[in-house]
Amino acid sequence: MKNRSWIQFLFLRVPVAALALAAAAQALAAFLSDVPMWRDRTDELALAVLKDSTNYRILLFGDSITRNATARFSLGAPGEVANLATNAYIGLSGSLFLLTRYLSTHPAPQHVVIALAPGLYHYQNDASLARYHLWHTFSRPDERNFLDTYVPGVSRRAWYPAILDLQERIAEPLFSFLKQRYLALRRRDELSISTGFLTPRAETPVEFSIHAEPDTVAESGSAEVDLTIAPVNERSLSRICELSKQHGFWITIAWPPMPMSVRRTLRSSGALSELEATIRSIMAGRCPFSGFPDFSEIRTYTDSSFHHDMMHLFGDGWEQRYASDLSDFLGGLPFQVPIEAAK
Amino acid sequence: MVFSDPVFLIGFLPASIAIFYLLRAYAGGATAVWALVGLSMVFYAYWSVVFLGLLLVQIAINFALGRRIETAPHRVLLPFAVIFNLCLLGYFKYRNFFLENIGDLIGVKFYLTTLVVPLGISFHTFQQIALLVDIKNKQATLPPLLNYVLFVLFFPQLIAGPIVLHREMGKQVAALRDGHKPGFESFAPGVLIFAFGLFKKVCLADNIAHYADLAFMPNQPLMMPEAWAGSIAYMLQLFFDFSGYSEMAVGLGLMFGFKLPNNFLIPYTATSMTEFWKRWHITMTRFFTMYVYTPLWLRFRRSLRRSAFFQQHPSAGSEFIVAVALPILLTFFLSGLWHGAGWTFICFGLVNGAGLVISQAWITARLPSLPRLLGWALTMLTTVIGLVYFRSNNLAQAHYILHQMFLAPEPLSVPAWLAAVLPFDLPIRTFTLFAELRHSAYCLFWIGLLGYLAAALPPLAANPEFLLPSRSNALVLAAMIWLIAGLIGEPRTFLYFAF
Repeated sequence: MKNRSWIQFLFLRVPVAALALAAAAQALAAFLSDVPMWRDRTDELALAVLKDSTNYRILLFGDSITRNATARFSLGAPGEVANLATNAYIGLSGSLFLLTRYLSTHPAPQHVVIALAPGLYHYQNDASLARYHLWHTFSRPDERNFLDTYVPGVSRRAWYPAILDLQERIAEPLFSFLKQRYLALRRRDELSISTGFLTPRAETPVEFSIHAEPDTVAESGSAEVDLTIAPVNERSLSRICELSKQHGFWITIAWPPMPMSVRRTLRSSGALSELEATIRSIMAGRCPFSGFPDFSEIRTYTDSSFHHDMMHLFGDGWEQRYASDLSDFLGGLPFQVPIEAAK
Repeated sequence: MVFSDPVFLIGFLPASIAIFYLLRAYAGGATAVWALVGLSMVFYAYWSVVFLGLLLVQIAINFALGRRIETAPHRVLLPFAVIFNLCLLGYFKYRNFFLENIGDLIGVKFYLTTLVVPLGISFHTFQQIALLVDIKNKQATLPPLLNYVLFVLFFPQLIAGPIVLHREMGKQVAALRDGHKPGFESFAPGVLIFAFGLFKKVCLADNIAHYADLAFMPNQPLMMPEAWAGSIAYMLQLFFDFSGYSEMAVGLGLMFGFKLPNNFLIPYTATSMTEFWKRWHITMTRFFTMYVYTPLWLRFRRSLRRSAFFQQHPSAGSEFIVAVALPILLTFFLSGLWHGAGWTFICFGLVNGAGLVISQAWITARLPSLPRLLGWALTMLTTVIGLVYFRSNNLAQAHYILHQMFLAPEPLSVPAWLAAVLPFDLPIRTFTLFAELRHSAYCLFWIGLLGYLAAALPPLAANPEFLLPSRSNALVLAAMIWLIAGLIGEPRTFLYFAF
């Protein structure tokens, strides 16, 4: 008798329960499928670039090095600079999507400044990272077509039953949905590109980090660092260049601060020059472009100016210094009449 | 092969079940035992064929020694057998540690190659030592070779326990050989318990692991709340990882008709260290109590009582120190060393030993019982301190984290996301555990959820016979299977595989 009821349990009750749960999850996912994601700052930016009513003179794109350093600091007069720096997973393709969205609802800026670490021109998200960080955030057809073309497998999981993808298809859309409803209820759903309000100080005191592990130093400063530009980044850069021709803005590609040993190796091995040459070959003659202001030339960043990951600036002092230099640099960009769109 | 690896779940496990049940039905119990031995060898050989050979040699030698101890006992045989097993364990696990420390003492630098430690060696070595001791004490008889091999090799408990005693397994193996056939009333609860353990590992432990890993990264600067969050995250990760593994082992055992001992009994609800160790890694505690602590306690107490000094000046204090505190500290020193060859593990053992000594002293002195909440808080505090040592890469890191937890409040240092919304300038920390608001919220969410579950989830493996084939259990099992299937893409190794 006991044996029989366990057989019924395993072969009838459990499968029926599994099917019922899968059906419920599928229905919920279908209900939430059109909800724009609102999980993090990138999601917020993707919505804000469409709704912010300010016409910025300069758009700044960058990775977490720049983002961390500039989160609290004003980079210019109000309405001057839109800080669209994100992180490595958003990368150049995410920057392209943000720019395209901005241009669809705003007049062209005068300058687009891209401050990504050299390694990020080589880096490419795998399908699951691209799906999580880009696919769900940038869901317009042109954005998804681009990702489908340049990130193989990014849309593969769209065919999964929703119950196998609870986080991305149910939990996070549900959270975004509830957040939007809550903000609408509190009448706080007007979005704008957030900006820091503190003025960075150029000579603020700094502290030094513990030295990174020898392995990290060796890896970061390896002479064999590959800076070959990834296809998705090459295409993103070309698209940005095309947009520049269409809308008439100037593109500047800058190098954010690098640890001294890493920079030395990248320079001496020729990897950085090769990357610069590749970028020039993509941009030069095709769109108004200038390169490559290097923030490590403005002041010295030793290895211990960085966290032990040898990437992110360590502490408030170093971040303020970079933010100050960046602010000066952006403030010094010429006020010029936008270049006429290419005929 | 990891239990949470799709190769195991989709390939090895279903194939093993099919082979076992077919052979048991059509070729008899003895053939089914042979099949389990063969399958267990495949399971181990999937990791290393060479070390399977070593394990078989160890089994053969122990079997021969067991026979000698049983048939022609000699007083040196058992010590020889124990030393043989400990030498094997010591060579692979402790050689470098001891040589490095001796080198440090005499000022010589040895250039040592890193040795691969045979998977599960600490567990199956202990199991075999326990049987040899039991044979010597006439508490067990040596089983037939095939039964003995299955007792050691049975794959659900081969890699990371539970540390099974022969008195628990022996009769079950013999019954299987004699044709005893447990049916679905054993198999189905086994599936349920296995899924429960896998759920704890894949959906809970692996999800909080990220926060613990971040806090214990080398040279990671931590603020006080981050040091606490990282340590508690590890405390929870270890519990869900290892208790999950142990439940998977019990579940697998039941699928093949074997009842293996339970290893965890809601340990984070313990209100004293004594209670904690009755609930945490129960089979290891049992081994150390039976085969290390009790003999030490007996010997120390006997020696003390025989000593002329004690007979002239008897005192409860000196009796406590010699007959209680010393055996406890020695046992926990060895238990720490058993977990790993490093001073951090020894400190882990000693912190717990010290906690237990204080707990015992409190009882011995007949002091009033502490309020339950205070007892619980002190027990968890001792546990978390011990586990900071356990997880740290070296003593310096452990001391840094403990310093940040207890002595470095840094009230004016804030994470970047908080600094960004504050209207005044404060020193910030970036890229740490609480670097982002979302990250901080997730971390606290996981700590809260797992903290609650650690107290609320029932220890299914303790009483599988009480499980019912109810609709609610079916729904829970189905939900767990879906969650596991959604998250199992990249299994992480079980923490206790390292020991």
